Amino acid sequence: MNSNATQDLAKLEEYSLALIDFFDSLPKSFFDDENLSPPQRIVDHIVRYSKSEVSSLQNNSKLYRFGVN
Amino acid sequence: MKNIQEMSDNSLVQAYITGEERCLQVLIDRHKNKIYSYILMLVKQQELAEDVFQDTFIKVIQNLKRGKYVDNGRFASWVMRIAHNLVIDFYRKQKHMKVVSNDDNDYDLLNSTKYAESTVEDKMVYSQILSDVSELLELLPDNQKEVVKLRHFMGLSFKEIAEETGVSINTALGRMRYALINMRTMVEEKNISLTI
Repeated sequence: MNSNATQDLAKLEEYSLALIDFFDSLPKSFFDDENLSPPQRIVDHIVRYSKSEVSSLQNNSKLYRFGVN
Repeated sequence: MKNIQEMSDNSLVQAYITGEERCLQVLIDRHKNKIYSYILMLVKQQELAEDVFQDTFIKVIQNLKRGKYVDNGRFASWVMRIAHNLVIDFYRKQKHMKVVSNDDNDYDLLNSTKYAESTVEDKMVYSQILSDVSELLELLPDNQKEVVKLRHFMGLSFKEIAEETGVSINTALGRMRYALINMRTMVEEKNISLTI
C-alpha cells in the first residue's frame, strides 16, 4: 500500500507533466514579465559553465573573509 | 550565419553543438522565463527554483554536447521535462529522509546545539563559505575544477566522472586530490576561515 508521501509524489508528477503541456499552450508573450525571470547571475553562471571560463579575482566581489571565526 | 535572434531553436542548438557559445545565451534568453516560471510553480521557493533552474541548464548543456537532443520543434518542452525530472528527484530524496524519534531514551543524544536549527548568523556564514569555495574553485585548472564540480555539485561517482571526462578512474581521483591540495593551499595562503 502506498504511503501518503508516495501518493503525493505521484500526484506531483502528474501535475508537473500536465503543467508542461499547459505552458506549451500559452503564448510566449504570457511570460514577458520581469518578475518571471530568473536572476541574471544564475544565467551568467550557466553561460560560464558552458564556456568553462575562469572568473577573475579582480571583480570587486568579496572573495575572502580574513580572520573570521 | 543569419541574424542569430531570428534563428530557430533547432538551428541554435546545432550551431551551439558545433561551438557557437553565444547561441546558448540566445536559447536561454528566449525560454528562461517560461522554464523558471514552470519550476517556481512546482517548488514554490525562489532559492530552490534558482538551484533547479541552474541544474536544469547544466543538464541541458551536457545532453546537447553529448548529442542527446532530438529536434521535434519543442525545445522548451524538452528543457521543462529535464526540470520535471530534477524536481521529482528532489522530492523523492526528501521523502526518503528518515524521521528518528528519541522519546524513549532518558539521555537525549540529539539535544545538542550541534543539531539545533541554524541561526541567521550561521546561515550567513555558511552562505559566505559556499561563496568562498566557489571562488576558489574557479581558480583551479579546468580539469581539476571539472572533477570537483561533477563530484560535489552534481553528485557523480568517480566511475561516472571518468566516463564523462574520458579519463581513467585513477586520473579522476588524482585530479580530485590535486584540486583539494590546491584549494587547501589557497585557503592557508589567504587565511580564509571555512568553518561555522
